[in-house]
Amino acid sequence: MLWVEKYRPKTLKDVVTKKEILEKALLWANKWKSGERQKPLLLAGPPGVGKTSLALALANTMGWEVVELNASDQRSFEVVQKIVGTGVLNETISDEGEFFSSSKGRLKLIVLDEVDNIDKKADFGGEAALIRIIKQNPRQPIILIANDPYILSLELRNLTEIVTFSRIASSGIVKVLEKICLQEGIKTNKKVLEKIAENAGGDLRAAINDLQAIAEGKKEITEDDLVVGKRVQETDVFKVMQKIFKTSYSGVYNEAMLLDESPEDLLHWISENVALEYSGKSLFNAHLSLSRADIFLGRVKRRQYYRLLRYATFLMTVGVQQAKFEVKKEFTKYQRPKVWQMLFQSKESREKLDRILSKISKYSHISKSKAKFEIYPYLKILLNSLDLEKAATVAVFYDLSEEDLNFIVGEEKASKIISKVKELGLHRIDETFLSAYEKRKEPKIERKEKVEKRSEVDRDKRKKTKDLTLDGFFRDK
Amino acid sequence: MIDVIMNGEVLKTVAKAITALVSEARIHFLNQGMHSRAVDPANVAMVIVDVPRESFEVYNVDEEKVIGVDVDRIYDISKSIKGKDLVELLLSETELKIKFGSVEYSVSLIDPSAIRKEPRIPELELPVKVVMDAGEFKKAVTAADKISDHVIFRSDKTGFIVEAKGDVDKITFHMSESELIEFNGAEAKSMFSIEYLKEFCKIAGSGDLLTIRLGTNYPVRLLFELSGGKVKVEYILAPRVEAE
Repeated sequence: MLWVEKYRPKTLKDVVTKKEILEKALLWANKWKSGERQKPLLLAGPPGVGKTSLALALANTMGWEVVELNASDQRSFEVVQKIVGTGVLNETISDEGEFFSSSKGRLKLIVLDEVDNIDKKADFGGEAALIRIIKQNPRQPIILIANDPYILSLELRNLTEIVTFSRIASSGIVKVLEKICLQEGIKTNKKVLEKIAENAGGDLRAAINDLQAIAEGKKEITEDDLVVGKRVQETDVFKVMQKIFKTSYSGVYNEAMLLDESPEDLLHWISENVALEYSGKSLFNAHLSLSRADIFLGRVKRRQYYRLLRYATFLMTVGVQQAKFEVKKEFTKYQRPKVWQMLFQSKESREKLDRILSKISKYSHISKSKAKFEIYPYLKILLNSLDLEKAATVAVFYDLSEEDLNFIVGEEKASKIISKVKELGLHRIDETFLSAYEKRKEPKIERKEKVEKRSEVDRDKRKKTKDLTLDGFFRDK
Repeated sequence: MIDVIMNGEVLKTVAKAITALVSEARIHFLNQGMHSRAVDPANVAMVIVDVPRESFEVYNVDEEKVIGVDVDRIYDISKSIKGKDLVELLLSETELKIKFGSVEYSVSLIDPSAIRKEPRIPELELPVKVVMDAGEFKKAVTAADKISDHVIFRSDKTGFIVEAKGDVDKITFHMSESELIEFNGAEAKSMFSIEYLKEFCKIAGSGDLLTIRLGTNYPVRLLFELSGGKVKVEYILAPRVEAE
């Protein structure tokens, strides 16, 4: 059995965390018990600091039943609605088969672990279902748990009371390890445990796992037994950037590889912040490295040759690091890359452009990227400068809607073109249009002469209003 | 070695009764018959299924055994079995074989210890006892489902009452003592989620016997006797939390 499970705190007072957090949780639970409904708690903090333990210990202390939903369960709209939704409305039958009545303070604690990992695709609608349930003022207590609460939507965060956990101090970890050693009957000295605790970097679960790996089956552990490799500490992009900009420690490349950021994102981070740290010649050199890195990234993508990736990462980390002549002394507050925000803001217009390009690509029989560079700029000029009738013909040829035209030439001109299109009764001719036209003609074939005459008239008419290929348009000129 | 033969209807009912609440369950093959019980993931309802030995055509159980099965799969397969067909269940160490007609379906077993702990059957003091036709009850629930998501079960001297209130409408289903098969006339009232009741009713039809035990703001026990009394399915449902 894993020691982390074996020694998981049973009651609230065994949970190793800040006193304020424990008090807050207890107050919350007691209010619930006395029949006062509370906002759900959102326990946030790094892994291994006791978030789940606190929730379970709280339920245990209060004598509540726990309904747990974690990342190993599916958490789509239906599932959340079914389990959490019905769970909060009804009284409880415990796993033991006992009936819990909320009027006697026996509640059901619904624990949603790792809510920040509710998958946008696989668990579609899970978060929305949760928001809906919480808005209806649930009748049973809910605790949400997340490593990074800021991944959750603002709406959900506002509906909850956030309790932030911080990493556990080494001394606190050592105490827990000592207790476990005592109960397992393992002799050891404090130094060994201190080393393990330090190595875990504030993650109690990691420390206990390390201890078990070293000590299980032994009667005594000494410093010689400490063979665990350095635990890969959760590092973040800010720490990596600090190492790039402030030190010349070349191990930064390896740390960058461990980051949970794609090389493209890392490049954005670094180029966003490099100007805050460097100036003059250093900045120039750093940008040289970054542009080089960008070239490599482009090649990786285009040639699908991922072996080049390491050069890109190396250039953007160590390359930028070595570019500096001196280190800026003061602390720098790093910025989030603005490019994401820009991409987000321009999303709508990019989508519009994309729609127009796919129309061009369809009717001119070329690829979208060609359409973008070879047709779209001219199209824009033509629509702006041609007389209205011709512009209308062009617009209709590409089947551009009013919205598309608004995007290309602005609203004023667009409305003029559209009204011209309506005035002339223009239509785009494609296969479906023609086939409908032919069908209509068929029964008239018997009266040949008349038909011929009519079709002549038709043709004339069509030339005027419906001859809409660009060829015809240029010939007219 | 476990080898039992039963009516197709029996297997279908058992599978359907359990899937109403859980997708995996432990099934006991005991000397006196087959048994299973489970609590749903939201800890709101419990199902207890009993098929006594006499309900089987053949019941060979050398040694009592617990197995874990994926009930959803069994339910899916059981849909293609005709009610009157005979079905054979054959149990090996790792597999459950279901034979019907010319079909042999085998499914891997789940380690029972990996399935949620089994509940004890709670002792509840429930004053009201009503015995009625399950078909009538089903009608009441189906009608109530149209207008609300919860329903009130009430009992007084006049009989057994099911009430549902919508925003603009209300439905009452009243059965007097003479319409009920058995009624003890005690008083009680509790509110329940229709969603669960709807699932429970799926297994029953008219002609099946239903015993309801009711208390005030207390769980309800619904005991269905199905397939001509061959299968006993009991649901225990926790009441709604009273909104203040």
